[in-house]
Formats: sequence, structure tokens, C-alpha cells
Amino acid sequence: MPLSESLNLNSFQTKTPSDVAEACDIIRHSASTLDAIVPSGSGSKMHIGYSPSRNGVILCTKNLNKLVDYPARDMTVTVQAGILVKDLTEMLNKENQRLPIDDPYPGESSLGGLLATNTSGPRRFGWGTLRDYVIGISILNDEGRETKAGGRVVKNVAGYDFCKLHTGAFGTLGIISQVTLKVRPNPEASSMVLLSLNSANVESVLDRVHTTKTRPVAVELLNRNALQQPLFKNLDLSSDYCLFVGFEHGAEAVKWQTETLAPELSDVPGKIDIIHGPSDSAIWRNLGMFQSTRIPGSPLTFKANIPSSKVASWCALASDTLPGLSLQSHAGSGIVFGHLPGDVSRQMAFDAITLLLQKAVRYQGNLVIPYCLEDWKSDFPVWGQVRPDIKIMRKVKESLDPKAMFNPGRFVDHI
Amino acid sequence: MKRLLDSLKNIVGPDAMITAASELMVYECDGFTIEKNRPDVVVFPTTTEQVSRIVDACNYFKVPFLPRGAGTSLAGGCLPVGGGVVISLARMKKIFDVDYRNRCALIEAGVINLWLTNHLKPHGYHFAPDPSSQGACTIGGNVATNSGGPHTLKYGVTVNHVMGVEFVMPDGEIIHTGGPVEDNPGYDLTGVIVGSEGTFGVAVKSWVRITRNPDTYRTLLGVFNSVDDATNTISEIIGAGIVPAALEMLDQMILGALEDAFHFGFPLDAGAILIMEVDGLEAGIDTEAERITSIAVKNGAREVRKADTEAKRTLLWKARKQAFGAVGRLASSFCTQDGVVPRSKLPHILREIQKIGAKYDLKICNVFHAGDGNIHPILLFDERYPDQVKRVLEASGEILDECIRVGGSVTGEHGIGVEKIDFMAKLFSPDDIAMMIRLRNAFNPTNNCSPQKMLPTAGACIEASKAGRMAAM
Amino acid sequence: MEKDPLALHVLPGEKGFGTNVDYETFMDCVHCGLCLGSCPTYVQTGDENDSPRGRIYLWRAVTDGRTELTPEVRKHMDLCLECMACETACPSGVKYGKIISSYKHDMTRVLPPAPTVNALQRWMLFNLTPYANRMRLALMPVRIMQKLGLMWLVRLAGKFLPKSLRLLNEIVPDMEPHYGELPEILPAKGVKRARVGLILGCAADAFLPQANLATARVLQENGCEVWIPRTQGCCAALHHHAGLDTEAKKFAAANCVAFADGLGDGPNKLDAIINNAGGCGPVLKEYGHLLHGTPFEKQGESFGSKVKDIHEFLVELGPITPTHEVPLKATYHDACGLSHAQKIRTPPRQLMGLVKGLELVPLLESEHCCGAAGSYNITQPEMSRALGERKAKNILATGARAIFTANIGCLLQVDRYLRENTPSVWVAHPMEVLWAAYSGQFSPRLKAAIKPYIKD
Repeated sequence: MPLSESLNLNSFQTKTPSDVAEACDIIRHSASTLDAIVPSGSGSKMHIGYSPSRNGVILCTKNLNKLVDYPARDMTVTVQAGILVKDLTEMLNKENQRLPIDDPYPGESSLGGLLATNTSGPRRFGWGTLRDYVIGISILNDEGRETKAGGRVVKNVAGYDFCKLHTGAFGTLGIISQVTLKVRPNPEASSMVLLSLNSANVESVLDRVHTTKTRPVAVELLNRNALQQPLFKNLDLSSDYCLFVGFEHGAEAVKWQTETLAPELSDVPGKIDIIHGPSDSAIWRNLGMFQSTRIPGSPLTFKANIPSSKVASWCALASDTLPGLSLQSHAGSGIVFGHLPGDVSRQMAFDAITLLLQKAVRYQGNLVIPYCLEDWKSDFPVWGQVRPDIKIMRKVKESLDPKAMFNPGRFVDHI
Repeated sequence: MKRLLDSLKNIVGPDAMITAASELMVYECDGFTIEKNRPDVVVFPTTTEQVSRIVDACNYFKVPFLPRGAGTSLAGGCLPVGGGVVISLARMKKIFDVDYRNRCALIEAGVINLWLTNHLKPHGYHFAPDPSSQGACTIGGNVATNSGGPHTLKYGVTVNHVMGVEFVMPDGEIIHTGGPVEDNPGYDLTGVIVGSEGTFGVAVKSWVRITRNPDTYRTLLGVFNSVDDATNTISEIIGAGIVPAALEMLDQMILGALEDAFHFGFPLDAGAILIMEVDGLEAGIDTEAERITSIAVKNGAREVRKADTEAKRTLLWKARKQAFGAVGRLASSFCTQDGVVPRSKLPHILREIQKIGAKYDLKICNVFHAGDGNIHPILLFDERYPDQVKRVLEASGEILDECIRVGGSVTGEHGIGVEKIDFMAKLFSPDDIAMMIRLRNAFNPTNNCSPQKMLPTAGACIEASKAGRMAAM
Repeated sequence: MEKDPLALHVLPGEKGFGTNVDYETFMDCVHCGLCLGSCPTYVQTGDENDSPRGRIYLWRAVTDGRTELTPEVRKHMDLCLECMACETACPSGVKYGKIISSYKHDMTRVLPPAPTVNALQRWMLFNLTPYANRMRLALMPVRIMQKLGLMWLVRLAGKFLPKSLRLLNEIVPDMEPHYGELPEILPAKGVKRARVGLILGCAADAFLPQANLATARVLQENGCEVWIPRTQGCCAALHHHAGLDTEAKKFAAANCVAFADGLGDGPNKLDAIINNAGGCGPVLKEYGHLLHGTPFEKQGESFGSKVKDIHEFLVELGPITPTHEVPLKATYHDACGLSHAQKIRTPPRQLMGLVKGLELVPLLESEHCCGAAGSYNITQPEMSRALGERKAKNILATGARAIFTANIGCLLQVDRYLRENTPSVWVAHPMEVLWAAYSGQFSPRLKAAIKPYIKD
């Protein structure tokens, strides 16, 4: 069975407009022919969700990548959405600023794609997610018109907050053409405290990290299988689990926190390592990239969202169900990513996912499948369990995209 | 109407509704008193089911309805335009479930903002949005207007702290969006419901994020000879990559009123003062405070004082937060504006405000969230002189127009309500507004819930003369 | 406007409602609503008509003739506790007290007494309570019954009493024996630092004599010579708040006479007139205003200027640190008269902070009225109960073994609602614990409260 890295878009033609006007023309044309439009930036996340329910065009925004305005002293930046995250990062870095959102595809993701998929990583515990940074947005709507909401100032309550609505909407409500972001200063220093743990200690250690005197910005839990992956191989860790507690603050604060956390947990059996280094050092980047890693042969990657307090027990259940599972959890935020082992059968995978999904739902959470073999999608719960508010989501979709042009069928409940 | 009243009585009982004209009068306006309209009835539900049944009854009898918290809106958000049923959520004030381990809480809409923080205090937590009216305003109101406050500079506004809502749709259906767990798949309905000013339905309960208290604070009071020096300091602090917990400016005129009210010991001869607060861990905080101090001094601060006791800090914040109210000591009427500009444009906009004040011969004082670029010029006048009222309206309009011109907004935290509805067309294109109407129609197709709020009615002409109005009188 | 048959109209030829207050007082309110959360009745009912902003709006509307004085309007106005928490909260400095007082005075002008109070209660309220001796006499049988351990009989009998008396029965705390009569002059201990007069109050002295005793002793301990004029009487607050000005003036004048010897510059000149009941202080301090236009105006002014709350006075004087340890977890309720009317919040806490071993934990809503509010527990029993229960709940949530508050009304109210759940919590005036710390003499209730803290 071939590994598919993309939705089924064989009959789709890719159009790459060079400016907004051209993009609008494409939309208007599709509106007249009732073609579907699949927005795409750099194409790094084209495997997520269901294949579109109709044929049409891929509208690639990679040429809509201009810097519009960067008043660094205001700590805001306005860019076109096709800009690569790495280019944005580089630009911000020159002013010693950043968007503190981890990009699991460094070098590849476009900002629009990151936004449409509401992607986040380890730093979300301390710095929040994209919804906390988007203050203005421009959308190419179903009529091929550029409409905007929000603005370029950090505080603004005029009009409805379309920024939130389009963040994580998977391009199903329109095409994000331009974004204004709040940015943050680069932290002066960072460090990472690593704790090797055996299974029995995970829950109590997580509880204790929750009440530590320090203020971590990332609390990452990786299981043994995950630690064996190339990303972490050189750390040479082989315990049941390893906890990574990251700090990013002023130099004094980072030093104090690093020196405080280790003794706080000194009675926990297992070794403690400390990695000093800048915020963009390999350890941070690799922790951010785990979710997008393809383990050879792995047929499926899931992302569960559960209460932070349930991470340890849920991970234990997952490991028991599928011993070869590689797990990473943003433990402070209750997010768990898992890559299934290569040797698992479709039925085994299905049963395991069903069980884990049920457990997550019981905790008022959910479980989605950002990646799996394309033909598994027909019966696997790609977008987890549909919740009753889908009714409202459908109304929103029908109202903003009445012809169902944008990514038809791709998102939750084939919306 | 009689039959509606009977059904409402069946739902909430006679003790939970107001129908006497003399009592309804109290509900004819909120903190914005320029426009008034008496509702036909006020009901006080205590459960989500009651709210849902009230909404059903209103729809059945085709009577408009709108939710109300404590009625502290400065933009007429609670004004029952066209009468109808006011659904007061003031009796829904239970704090159900505080989950310290997962840092969230489920609370009812009528819980007063400060109660939540007081409730969390013994455990070392607080609810981050801290609007100046937090001693009275409700969480439901905060959710409806996406409230801010001084400490939103570092911690974000209400929407950054709301994880989900229990919501009664305008058709009476009860839905839940989001919840105690982050990242549920689907559209971020919670994110768009927050700040929708009651036009999407009635948020009855909210899952909110609770925030750990910082270990320590350094609260500094920078004393400046001129407003210019103070605003330059603000831009330089932000530009230097420091994110203070709060950064607030008060000018000379407001200082006088505050001193009169709170006896803090403000330097009355100062041109402006800045309240500059950093918080966090003990380690490194003094370094940060020193950096701020040196930036202030470099920009001409004649002294930087420390609020070195908790009591002093509390009093300082109390004085700051109650500044609008204290303006009552300066003039019999005043109009608070709520513009936003890019932070680097603060020196410019304050000079413009001064010019506009001179042009219209009005006293204007300033107290605002400087770090966010959210200005609150307060225009003083006497409502008994129609000429002054006219000048205030025109001056307000000019200030807000200037905010728009430099890339800002006409409201940072008070909301559009009825007060700023005419500015929507200046900020947004007809296409933008059409999208907003489409979004509202998805939630509220009959527009029976909070009618004539937030969005200008299609076809209504925009009268320049109505631009800007008195926020409180 | 439709006519309400029950509404009150101003009689022809009479001055209209609300004309007894400067109209600018209404205009000071900018309708911001910041007072709402501070108002205990609004917090309880959620009805903005029961909020300070709402009441100002209502009374202004009546004054303007926008509405008649309907029974609904009266209901909301009458429900006001007059705790003045809203004045503390109001950033504009609205003088709410003047507005509510305008209503009360207009009511006594045109109306029979509030319908919730019956004749017997009213008689007791205004003819028994303000007279310490009559009150002490009236309470004598209860004291004896308590002493004999027969209170259960009284409580049982209570079931057969008329409702109004039953209510009074519930209010009565477990009383300690009265100290009898103190000498008219108590000498200072050690070097004399001040000469003060002491106001015993009326109901307070009858119900909780130990607070007065402790106050006198603490003053002595701090080097004060204490003069307790025999002829002093009620402070006049009860009548003043009910709008009964003639009676109020009589009481005030009587006190001026009683203390006359210390008011001038003579050898018996008083440095201060001490009062220990938060509810009496505001009126005592305003004697000059109250007696304005009477022959006692001058004396009233002198009297008022000398009045000091005990905590306020001791902190200014510089209190001597007590030596005995009182190992006790306690909390403090701000009596409205003290915290809102007199703005005295820190001094009581400072004084209790001097007591070794005393852990003073914060009380949620400590500045919210407990529902006693003078005669409010009789005139508005339902709201009073709701607030009393809320207060008790908050006190219990602190886990404190003692609750201190510096006003007779609050002490009785808090005691009453705590008694229903946790009779073991010691309800006392701050002076009582201070005296215990000075003297080492612990009352049985204090001993019971500190029991869990004493390790064997």
C-alpha cells in the first residue's frame, strides 16, 4: 500500500496568482463554474483532513508573500499570508522580535497555512496559540472580494472577530490573504531541564511541575519510543519517559528557574539534565517538529486534546493499547501527539483509536487524525467525535460560503 | 404583551420579573445615558433552561430581547432599543467548578469579575481581564464585549481567557462551544461569540482560564513635566522589547481629580505620570524595573517613585481604575472616548487631542492604557448648555477620525454598542460589513436578539452630526 | 403615565418630594454603576432598583415628577441598609447618604411607619432599646434563665410567642453577666497619657457589657484616665436614621449635658470622647450638624470634634503592646458605621496585630453589611436574614475560631447566624481580645475557641 502524503487532488489544477486581484479573479471564475477551491500555501499540510468532495483548483498563495508593514516599535507586523514562516521569523529576528509559535515544518510552512490549521507546539503553554496573536485579517470571500476584520492595533473590539473564526478553519470559509500579528520580544535567555522518569512517577511529577515555583513556558512529555526517534537520538535517553521543562525569560529569571526546578524534583528517581542555549536551539526545534515527523511505515498520527491532569493516565492507556506507539505531549496544555508503529494492522489501529477517542471524549476532549493513509480516512474518525455545536458551524459555513466552494468536505463532519 | 408576561411568569415566577413602569425606568439605560429606552419587562432567570424558555416566548410573541449584566457599558450595549424583554443575568452568579490543576473554571454570567478573582485569591490565582469596572461588571458582560483592562497589555483581553461558553441561541436552543479542554476541532465559535455584544445570543455560562498570580510586582510611578516626555517613554519601553504588566498614563487634569478622591500623594504639578508595572518572578525583576526607570529618566522623567507596599500599590490601582468616576469631581458631565492608535503614534494623537480641545474650547483630560495605545480622552462639559454638547460631539468625532487616519480603531474595549455604530462604516468597507451581517445571520437570522447593535442597519444614512456621543453623564 | 392607586402624592401646598436635598447631589452621579457590586441588597436580589445607582435614579425621578412614589419605589428605597458601602465605592464622591436621608425624611413627613414593623416592635425599638437601664431590666429575666441553664425553656416558649417577639428572642445572644456599675472615674495605669470620656451606649451595654468593660480596661492600660458620666444616654442614631429628628436632637442634647464638664477648657477637659460602637460613631461625630440651630449647637460641635472611635484613638495615641499570647485563628468583619461612614479600616486590624499568637485571616466580603443595620433586622427581616446567613457562611469558610467586629448590631447579628451552625466560634469586640492579651484573663468562650490551639 503506497504511502500517500497528500489528499486526493489528482484532477486539480494549481493556480498561483501573483497578486490579490488575480486571486479574486480565480475565485470569481470558480464561483461561476461551481469549482471547488483548495487553498494552499507551501503545501506542507495538504495531507490533513478529507479529500475535497468536488473537483476544482488549488489556489496557491505562495506569491502573495509581501511584507506590508512592520512598525517594529509598535510590535505589530502586517504581511501577506503566503509568506513563509521562516522568512517572517528572519525579518522579525532582525528587530529582536518573534512570533512565539512553534512551526513543525520549519522552512516550509506559510503563515497562512499555519493559521488555517491553527498549528502550535511546545511553547503554547507559556505563550498561547495563534488565536492570541492575530489582530487583523483579510479574507478573500466567496464573491472574490477582499474583506477585512480587526485592524492593526493590539486592542480593538470594533466588529466581529473574524480573526478567531478563520484561525483553524482549514480554509473552509475563505482564503486568508493578509494578516496583522502582535509580536513579542525575543527572550533574553532560555534553558531546558530534562528529567528521566519511569512510568510510575509520571503523574505525580506532572502534578508537581504544575505547582512549581518556576514558570515554565513548555512542559513536554515524551515516551521511550519517541526518544528513540532521530530527532532525540543524540540525547541518549532510554527511560520510560522523559520530561522536558523549558524556560524563556530574562537571563536572571531563567537562571533562577533552572536552579530552582532541579532541586524541587531532586527526590524523583531518575537523572536530571540541563540544556542551556538559545530559544532557537535544536532541542526546542526538535520538540516542535515531532508532530510532523514521519516514522517510517507509520500509518497514522493522532492528536488528542484532554485535560492536563489526565495526560499521564491517558498516555499510559495509549501505550498499553499500542506498545509501539511514539508519544509526545504538550503536557501543560493537555495535547498529545502519537505516531502509530509501522507494524500495526488497520483493524488494530481502528480499535485503538476508537478506544482512545472515547476516553478523550469522556474527559470533554477529543482526538483527531492529522495524518493517516488516504484510504483509511473512509472509516477512521479523522476529525474526532463531532460535537453538537456542529449545527452552528454548518450555519456559519452556509452563511459565509453558501456555494460550498472552499475546501468542500475537508474539515469537521465533511463541512 | 399581556400573554407574553403570563408566559414569562410561568417560566421564572412573579418574584423574578419587573413590570411596573417606575421600576422599569431604572433599566432604560446603562453607563451610557444619552439614549434611553424603557424595556417592557425585565426577567431574572436563574437557569440556562429558563433563559432558553424566555427566548422561546419572546420569539413566539415576536418581541425583541437582550441580555444585561450589571449595566456598566459605556457604549449603550445594554440599551433596549425598541423595548422588549431585558434578560438580566444578575441572579446567575454561581462559580461552579474551579479546577486549579487544569487552570480553568466554570462560572455563570452574572458573577462579578472581581468576585472570581477574590474567590481564586487564596489559591494563588486570578482572572486576568481586569476592566476598570471590575468591582461591578459581570463576566457575562466581559464575554459580550471582550473587555480589556490595564493588565491586558501582558495578559491579553477577555477572549484570550475564555475557553468555552454555554450559550442560548436566538432561537432558544442551548449549545456548548469549546469547553475546559483546549483545541476542540472545528470553528472557534467561542472566539467569535466573545465580543459579539449580545448579537449572537445569550452567553449563560463560561469556561474561563485562570491565571497564576505573579510572585511579585514592581510598580513604578514616573513623574514627567510634559505629556510628550511621557508618551515618548511609552514608545521607547515597548520598542526596547520590554512587556510590562501594565503601562498607564494620567495627565495633570485627571491627577487633580484623583488626588481629591484618593489622597494618594500624586504630584499635582506634574504634566503627566506613568504607572509602570512589571511582574513575575523575583529573579530579574529589579533589573527590568531599572531598565524602565532608566528609559523614563532618559526621556525626561523628573522622578520615578516606587509603590513599595502592597497597600500603596492597591491604592494606586484603585485610583487608576476609578478615574472615570472621579471625573465627576471636575465637571457635571463628561464624555469618555475609547480610541486606539499604534503605540508609536501616541505622542502624535495626544498633541492632536490638545489641538482639538483648543479648537472647540473644551477641557480634555487623559487617562489611558498607554502600553496598548488605547486612549481614553475625557471631554468635560455641562450638559445644560446645548452648545457645549454640540462641541463635545464634534470634537469626539474629530479625535476618533484621527485615530482611524493613523491606522487605529474607534473602540479598544468599550464596544460599539449604540454609541459608535456610525463609525463602523468609517472603519470598514461595505463588503466588510456585509460579511459581518452574514456572520450575524448565521447565529441570529431574525435579528430579534439585541437588535440594532454593533452593525449599522442596511440603508441607514450616516449622520456626521451624531459622531461620538457622551459615554457617561 | 398611568395612575397607581396606591401611589403617594404630595399634598397640595406642601413642598414636593426630594426638595430637602441639593439637586446637584443627584447630578454628581454619572451612572457608571461601579457601586453595584458593593451594595449588599443588589448583590442579593440582582435587581438594579435595589442598587445605589438605581435608588438615586428612582428618587431623582420622583423628585423630577417622572414617576410617582409608587409602592414599588418605596419597597426599593426602604430596602436600603444605609450601610454606605456605595459611598466608599463611588469614585465621583456622590453623597448617597444625603439622598437616602432625603427619602427617609420625606417619608416621616407624609407617612405612617414602615408597614413591616408592628406597633409592639416599634414601641420596643424606640422606647426600650435606647434606654440602657430599661433594656438591662428587660433582659434581666433572660440573663437569669441563661444562668440557670433554662434557655431551652425560653426558646421552646418562643415557639408560642407572637412572631414579633419571637424575632427578638432569636436576636438575644448568650449573655455574660453584667459587670454592674463601673466607678465614674477609672484611673490611668502608669503615666497618665490622656483623659477621655467613655460612651457606653444603650443596647450595647445591656446585651454585651463585656465589650464596654474591656474598652475601659484597655484605655486604662494605655495610660488613659476614663470618665464615664452617669447621665449619658443613647447616641441618637436609631431615631436619626428613622427620620425622627426631634427625638434624635433630645438624645444628642442630653449627652452634651452629660459630658458638659469635659467639653470646655476647664480642669476636667477631655482629650477625647471614646466610642466603641461603629454604628454610633458617625452620629456622635456629627452632633454639631444634628444640633444645628438649637441652643446646643456650640456644645454639639465641641462634642462632635472630640469623638474618636476607640481603635482610631489608640492607634493615634500609640498603643502599648500587650504581653499575653492568645493563640487563635480569627477574622474581622468591618462594621459599616466604622468602615464606610468613618473610613476606619486599618486601625482595628493594626491593634489586633499587636496580639501575639493571634492569626487574623481575611474575610471575604468583610466590608459587606451583615444585615443588622440598626433596626433593619426588625424592619426588613427577610433581607436581614439573607445577609446574616451570607456573612455567617463567609466567616465559616475562613476556618477562623473567632470573629471580631466593633459594633453591637453586627455582634448580635453575626452571633445569631453563627449560633445556628457553629456556636463554638467566639463572637467578640476587638477590645475583648485586646483586654485578654493585656490581662491574661480569658473568658470561657475565648477559652473554648482557643482550645484546638493549645498543645498538651
